[in-house]
Amino acid sequence: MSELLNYLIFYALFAATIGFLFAMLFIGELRRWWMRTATVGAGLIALLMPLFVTAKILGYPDPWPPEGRYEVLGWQIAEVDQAFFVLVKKPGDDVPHHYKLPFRLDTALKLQEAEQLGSIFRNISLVVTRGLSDDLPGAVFTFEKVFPDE
Amino acid sequence: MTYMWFLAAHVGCVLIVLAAVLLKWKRLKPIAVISGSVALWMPLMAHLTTLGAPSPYLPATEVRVITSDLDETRNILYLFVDLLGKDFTPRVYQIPFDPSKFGGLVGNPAYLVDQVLQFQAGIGGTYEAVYIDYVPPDLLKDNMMRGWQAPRADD
Repeated sequence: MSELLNYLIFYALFAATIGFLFAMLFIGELRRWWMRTATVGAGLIALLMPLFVTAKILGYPDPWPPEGRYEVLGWQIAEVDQAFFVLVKKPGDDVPHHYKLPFRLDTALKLQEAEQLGSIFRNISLVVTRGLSDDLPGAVFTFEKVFPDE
Repeated sequence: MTYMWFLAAHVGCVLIVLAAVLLKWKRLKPIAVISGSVALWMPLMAHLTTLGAPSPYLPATEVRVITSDLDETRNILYLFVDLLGKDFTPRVYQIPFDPSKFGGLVGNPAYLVDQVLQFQAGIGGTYEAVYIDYVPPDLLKDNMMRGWQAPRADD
């Protein structure tokens, strides 16, 4: 929640600097030195602040995973946040992606078992489907064992 | 890398507005109004496309590696990490890494689970993994918090 609040503060500041530049565009009172300094300062803030925030946001999970089949590389169960954070890779893709999925107790238990008995699983895959709403995508994990009869 | 296009568009739009304000060319004014309106949305679009993508800016602090994936063709190591108390949301990073050192990093399965490491800039632009003898604070007297969730002094 604090991350969202921080982002809203950033966006409000960014919009304010753009608003200030718009005001200077139409008022255009730049004869005083401090107005010129303030305008250039606002321009630099409007220019650089989103770049700085982008560097901070990179690596965060995407809560809206696109539909498809993925290979699961790793996961973190966040029971308090009621979410799974998963690192997945689409077949044929070079770059893995980080997604946030809705929490389910049965899946959490299965993932916990896979964490403890990692070597008995050959592959863990994930199928993301369209859920009841955009915020709740459907996610089905498939656990393929090395020896299926076990 | 779509977000780079959005950021480039943002930089271009803001520069046009700034030029229109400082140079006072009348012909630039309507273009500046359109550019400013577009510039308002570009960071939001860029940030929505960055979600889930690996960050190249790995912090120099200790991290708990949840899992890792090596791209041997491009010598890039993808790290899925817990930042140990910064917050509880894991992050994914990408760093240039020498594949010959990856065996030591993942050869023992114990290294993969809850291993605390620090990645430092090494020779030739790649990173070196440094294993940390991490003592979880909950093993210390009078501290009941889980080890990797304990806040640090600079949090």
